[in-house]
Amino acid sequence: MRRVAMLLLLLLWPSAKQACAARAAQPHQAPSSAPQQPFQATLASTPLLIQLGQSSAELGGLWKFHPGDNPAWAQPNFDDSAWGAMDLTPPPGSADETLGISGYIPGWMARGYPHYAGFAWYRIQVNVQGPNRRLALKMPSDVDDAYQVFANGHLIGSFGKFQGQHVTAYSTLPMDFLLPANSSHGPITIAIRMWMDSATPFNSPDAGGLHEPPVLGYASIIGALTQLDYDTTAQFMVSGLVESMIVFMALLMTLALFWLDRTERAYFWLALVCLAILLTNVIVISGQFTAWIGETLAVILTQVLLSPLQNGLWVLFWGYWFRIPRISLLHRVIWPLVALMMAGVAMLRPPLYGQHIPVQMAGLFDPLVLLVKLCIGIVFLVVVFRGLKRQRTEGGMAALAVLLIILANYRNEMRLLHIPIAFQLGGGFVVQLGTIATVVSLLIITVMLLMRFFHNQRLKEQWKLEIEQARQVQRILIPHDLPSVPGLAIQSEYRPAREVGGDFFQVLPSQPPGSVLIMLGDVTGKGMQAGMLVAVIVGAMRAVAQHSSDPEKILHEINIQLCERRHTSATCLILHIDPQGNVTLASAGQLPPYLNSRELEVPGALPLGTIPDADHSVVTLTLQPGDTLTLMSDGIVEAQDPSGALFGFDRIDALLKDRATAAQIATAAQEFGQEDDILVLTVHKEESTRATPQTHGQKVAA
Amino acid sequence: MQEQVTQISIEELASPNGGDTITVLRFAGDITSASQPAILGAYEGLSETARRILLDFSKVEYLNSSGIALIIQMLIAANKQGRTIRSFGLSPHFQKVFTMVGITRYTSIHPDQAAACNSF
Repeated sequence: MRRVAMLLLLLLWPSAKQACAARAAQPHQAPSSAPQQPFQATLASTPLLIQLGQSSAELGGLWKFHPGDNPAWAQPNFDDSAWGAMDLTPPPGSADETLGISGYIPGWMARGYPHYAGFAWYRIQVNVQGPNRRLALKMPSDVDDAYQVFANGHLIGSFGKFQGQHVTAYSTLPMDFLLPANSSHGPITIAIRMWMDSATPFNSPDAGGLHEPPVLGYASIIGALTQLDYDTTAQFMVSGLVESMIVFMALLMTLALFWLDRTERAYFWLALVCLAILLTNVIVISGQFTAWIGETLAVILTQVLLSPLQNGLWVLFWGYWFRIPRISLLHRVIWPLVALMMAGVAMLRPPLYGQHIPVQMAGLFDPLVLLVKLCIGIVFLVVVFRGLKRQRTEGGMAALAVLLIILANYRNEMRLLHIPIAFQLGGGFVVQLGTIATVVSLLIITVMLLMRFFHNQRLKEQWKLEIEQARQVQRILIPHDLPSVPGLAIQSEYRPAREVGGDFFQVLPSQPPGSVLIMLGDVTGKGMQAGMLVAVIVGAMRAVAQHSSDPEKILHEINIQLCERRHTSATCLILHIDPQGNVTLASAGQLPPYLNSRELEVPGALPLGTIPDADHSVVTLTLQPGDTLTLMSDGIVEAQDPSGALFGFDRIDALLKDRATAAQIATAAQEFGQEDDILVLTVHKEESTRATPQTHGQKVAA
Repeated sequence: MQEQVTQISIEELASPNGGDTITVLRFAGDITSASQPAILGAYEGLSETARRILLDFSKVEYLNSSGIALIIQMLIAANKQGRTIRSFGLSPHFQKVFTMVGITRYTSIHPDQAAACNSF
């Protein structure tokens, strides 16, 4: 219950705050019946005061304000006495009149027009005294969102594109406009036609119109002040530029790491995160200096697309970083949430919001979007929680990085909760909380990435060494030159897996003279351990084969030896073939051999090393001239294609019906998808040898 | 690199033909050498009185030779303790592999749970 209450509080808090602010602002709406009079005391009263080097003056004080739109409102003779007042005097202590830098003034939403978006007009009348020099008006660099400025009814300039009722807004730039040459002295009526997009209120709770007073002054001075405004913006953006540079370096590094180690998917996803942050920064920062990208498009790119994408990409990065199982499930959960959030935010942003989506719907969509974003946050926390549980190393660093990322991704929610998200540093530099969080978390993650990379490299070196050693052992044990046995053509096809499997085979001359012992098997396990076990088994087999030519007896002795070692098991098949073609076959769980295209019926038997008194199945048969026995390791039936399907017995049957050679079978399995060692051995009884009187392929179960 | 997780759930079923209850071990996920603690742990945790054991492989995604060795080990232990074991849920491929390695000496293999239960 408590959790639910907390969530509700989170959802209601911003709107409750706004409502309070709106109520508090009501009394500011001054009665509009006051007669027209000069508003700016410094300009309108004693002329001496401004002749002492006063080259510019902030037009603070009471402007006339009216929502709506009418071209007649630009005219100096329009009677605006019925309009409301809008005080543009900056809060005490926040302005520097000398430099023309002003403090932030809450917009119209916080001052009596809580839900208003669209066109609105500001008007002021001034009486300029002083030398008759060309005047200019500097417009503030913080404005919602686009405007046209009129002096005595003449349009002197605009910011944003105005095409009839359609307005394209840009991220505001400091602008100044020359007043007409004939209005450099005496009374001047300045009218500002302001336009605010219906979605702007979502960026700050006190949006609306001018956030600083315009400054009127001599053109040369105003030009300098505008340049100063750009410098202030640059100072404000320095932290953003630093962030972008760090993100760019992180992007280069993650791409390099991914290029070096494709198996670590976390590098790839972090590169995508960096790319998304970088794109956002490029759009936001460049918008502060040039009007190259319309505000609507910038909002769609950064807030509708990139911001939800960033949230999703972060979750996936940590999913891959912690190697959580069922990453595909995470994809299936996170992408719909990201898409939902994109759709939700799109509803609340231009061009949909206000035009296709009624403004009242915001009350419905806003909490929904917040809810989706919180869901992504919950998935994020679940991933991190499970990850930290699995991976204790680097846990502290990861936890800190995660905390900072949550700060960075949920900074807008904090802003609506009036938690400070920017800090003033010395020298007038301003640092955003999100920037600090992004930079510090990226630094931590970079250290973690490098640690993992070097750790992985070290492991890989070890594996490589171990695999090489195991492979050498196996290479020694896999015979290259098979002994020639009169009347028999023996072929072997051995394709070792990348990771050393445990396949082995031996072909040894046996008694009576002209006979051959063929032993083939597979130990469980892989790598060095399997390689060593193969060495033990092959050594033991060769020793036993010195004094015995009975397959069952050889299996029995090796089984006892393996049982003594414990935790080792191997499947094995031993064939004894005498010069007449009589075959005695003993099996311990090995795949039965095929006689021509037919699988021999060999009763099942336990693998070696399971129990000491195991029985092994024994089968005898006689090879006729032209017969072929095919022996295989389980690496063939268990070859797997990318979808996980097994090569299986049916494919082997089909290949043998087509009289495939050992090499053809091995290649077919390898191309299907090799997982383990592949070993195929064929024993062909040649036509030229003496025929034996026994029936073709007769089998006698022993 | 990822942990191989074998999930094993244990369930008690009434025997359709009367007699002892049937203890079902349902395996899910992969059965490989990494499954040793899970499988042997689950087996050793069974009550002494569990005489009839049913192995359900229908949710097993991957089974390799080390995994088969583990199953054999468990079956031999159960056999020594005089327990009766039945299995079901194996693909034709693995039915064949189980037969090949002699597992069928310790357990019969059935197409589904009902058939396996009826065979006790």
